[in-house]
Amino acid sequence: MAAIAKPRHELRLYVAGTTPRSLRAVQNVKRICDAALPDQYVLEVVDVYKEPGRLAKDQVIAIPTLIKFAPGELKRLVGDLSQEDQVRKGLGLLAA
Amino acid sequence: MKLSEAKAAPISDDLQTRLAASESRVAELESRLAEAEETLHAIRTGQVDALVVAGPDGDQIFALEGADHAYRILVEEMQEGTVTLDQSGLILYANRQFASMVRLPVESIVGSSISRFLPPDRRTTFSTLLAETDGTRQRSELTLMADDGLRVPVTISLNRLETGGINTVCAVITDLTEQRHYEAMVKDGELSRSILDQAIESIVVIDARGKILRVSESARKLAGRDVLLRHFDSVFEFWDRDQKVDAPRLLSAARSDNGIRSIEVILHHTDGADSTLLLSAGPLWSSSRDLLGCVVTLTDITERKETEEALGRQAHELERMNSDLKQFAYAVSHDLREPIRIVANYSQLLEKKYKDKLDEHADGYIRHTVNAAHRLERLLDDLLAYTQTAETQHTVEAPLDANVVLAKTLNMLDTALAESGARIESDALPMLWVEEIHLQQLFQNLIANSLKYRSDGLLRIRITAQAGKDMWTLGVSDNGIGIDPQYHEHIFGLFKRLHGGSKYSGSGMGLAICQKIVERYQGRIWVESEPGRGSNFLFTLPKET
Amino acid sequence: MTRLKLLLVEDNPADVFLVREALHEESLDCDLEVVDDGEQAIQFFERADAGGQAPPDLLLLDLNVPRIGGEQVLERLRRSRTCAGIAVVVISSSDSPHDRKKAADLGAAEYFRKPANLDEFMALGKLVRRLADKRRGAVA
Repeated sequence: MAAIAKPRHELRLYVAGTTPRSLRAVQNVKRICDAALPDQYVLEVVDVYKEPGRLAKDQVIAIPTLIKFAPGELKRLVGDLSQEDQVRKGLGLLAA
Repeated sequence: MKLSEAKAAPISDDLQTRLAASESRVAELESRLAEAEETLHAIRTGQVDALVVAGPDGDQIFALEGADHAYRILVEEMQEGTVTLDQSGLILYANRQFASMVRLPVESIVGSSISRFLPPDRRTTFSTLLAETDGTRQRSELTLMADDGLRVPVTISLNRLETGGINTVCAVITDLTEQRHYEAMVKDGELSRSILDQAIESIVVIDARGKILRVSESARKLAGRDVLLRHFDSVFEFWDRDQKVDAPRLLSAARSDNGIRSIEVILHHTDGADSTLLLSAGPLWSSSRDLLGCVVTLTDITERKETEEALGRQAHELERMNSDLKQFAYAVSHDLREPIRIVANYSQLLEKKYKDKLDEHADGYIRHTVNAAHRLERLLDDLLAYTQTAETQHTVEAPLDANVVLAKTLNMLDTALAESGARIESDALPMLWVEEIHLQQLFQNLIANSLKYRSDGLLRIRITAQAGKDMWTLGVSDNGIGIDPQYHEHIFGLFKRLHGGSKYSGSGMGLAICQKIVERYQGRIWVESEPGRGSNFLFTLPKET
Repeated sequence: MTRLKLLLVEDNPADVFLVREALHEESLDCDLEVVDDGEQAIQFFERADAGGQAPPDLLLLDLNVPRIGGEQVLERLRRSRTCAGIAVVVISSSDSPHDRKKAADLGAAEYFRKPANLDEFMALGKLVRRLADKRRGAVA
């Protein structure tokens, strides 16, 4: 029986250099995704200080912001992503 | 109609579609609203670091906590790579330099584990290092692994920081590749420069086109000016007889014959002088067997050659002078014989015919004349013999029985021996690789000396022989008057005599002749003697081959 | 007994006198003919061959004479009809083995080196007598 490939989560995290919440956001998103979506996600981390031009395109207002492009609708999550339930919900994952 | 009244009425398709669209739109709006509310909530509750605000020149980022702009620039722009890691080695932040070290865009780096950029065999070590990092800066050397597998030697400096409630480790990473390279280059350059400077030889390194890449100090002096990067042929003009030894020839030899080995060349200097040098050239191969160039080594042999030539000329001159002298001596001795013989003959004739017919003085006069004539004659004989010892060119063809020669000599001296009543004894003598005439003269002169310089009493002459490695040592010893040690060398000189005119006759050349003879065979002659204790004349001659 | 005929080829008068003296010492009764160069010696042989004169019994020859040298004289002598068999004494001031050998090769019976010692020179007379006796013995 052929395995059906589940669609991968495509995520982009906007951070601001080494600010505390930015660092925490990276940690948190990694932790959650590794647990719930092992090898099923792609995470891009964009440092707005390095690449300020990308902000506008994604309509980022506040930093950190995590954007889920796929699967499903585009979803934005703002903050250091320490609220795990909220993050899971935003990513379309069932509650742990 | 009121909405309540329309409850029972069926909804048209069109309406249904529009209703669905509206519901969907509402949902979307609700979602967006929720998001906006969440964002506002996040901002209000201090969950963000920075806000993005539209400015006259585009979006601006307003940081909410004091992240210093200047520091940020510094960190981003610095030569070192830096990463911020959490306890598990997760990269929370990486600067541009680190990204280029590991050859990945920076967005792919943040969120990866540092292990990804360490060689597999190094990961455990690093974990330990990380765990051990405390508030003091630790430095160690390790190897990073870039995304394409390239290994990058680095030093890493670790420090623990508490940032925003997370225990992080800040690592500053310095790429050693350049440095190591540079160090190696410097050492290499220094070493080769040192070798080049100290070499006595002139060394010139040329590339495959003949351009001079390196020279030793002495090569530079040889050229007389700065030569780096100039073409070999524009600096040096070497000639091998009538052929130019130029860069093409050197490179071609290097390529095909593995170089040139010590040929003599002449260097034409710009000031007209010439030097003679020994030239060698060897190839420089790349790892892919392309000829990179050629190393040319030169040794100045000008002086040596000049000395050789001068010596050659001198030797030739001496040879010529010697030959002239010999010829002269021969002519003189030969031509003088005749008149001297006549003088001798006639003096004796006078003596014979007019003895007792003139007064007693006349007898004396005549006697002296006769004696003088005799002495002259013997002198000429010896002189002739002396010039001839070196003159004869023939080489020894057969071994000689010394016993036979001794017998012949004794026979010749028969009368004198009988008169002296001498007793001759001899060892069994060996076969020698000499010419008969020479050995005979040796025996004759030495035995004649023994006869001449005898003491009173029975004269004993003994001939001995002792074997050496390549030579025999023969001896003629007597119990005659002996010779004082201070004269042991003197007596072998030409015309050297120890005793004055009348007592012992002789020209004084006998021993000089003996020495010349033995020297012709690379032998030696010397004497062991003391006054009153007799003499033992020893000489060495080659064994038969 | 016919007198001994000797031909002396010698250019040095001092040596001629000494040779005469040597012969006189030995009381040799002989006719001594003297020529002072090689050419005259050869002419002598030619005259003898032509029958104009008797060949000599003995030749005393100094190798070192002018005009034609002693060597050539000897060679010419070998070819003479009448004189080829006469005894030759080469007299010379040289003692070199080379000259001795040359003389022997050319048929000389004796080689006499002119000595400085007078008595030794006088021995030439004895030498001549010995050779003359031998010849006479042979003839007889």
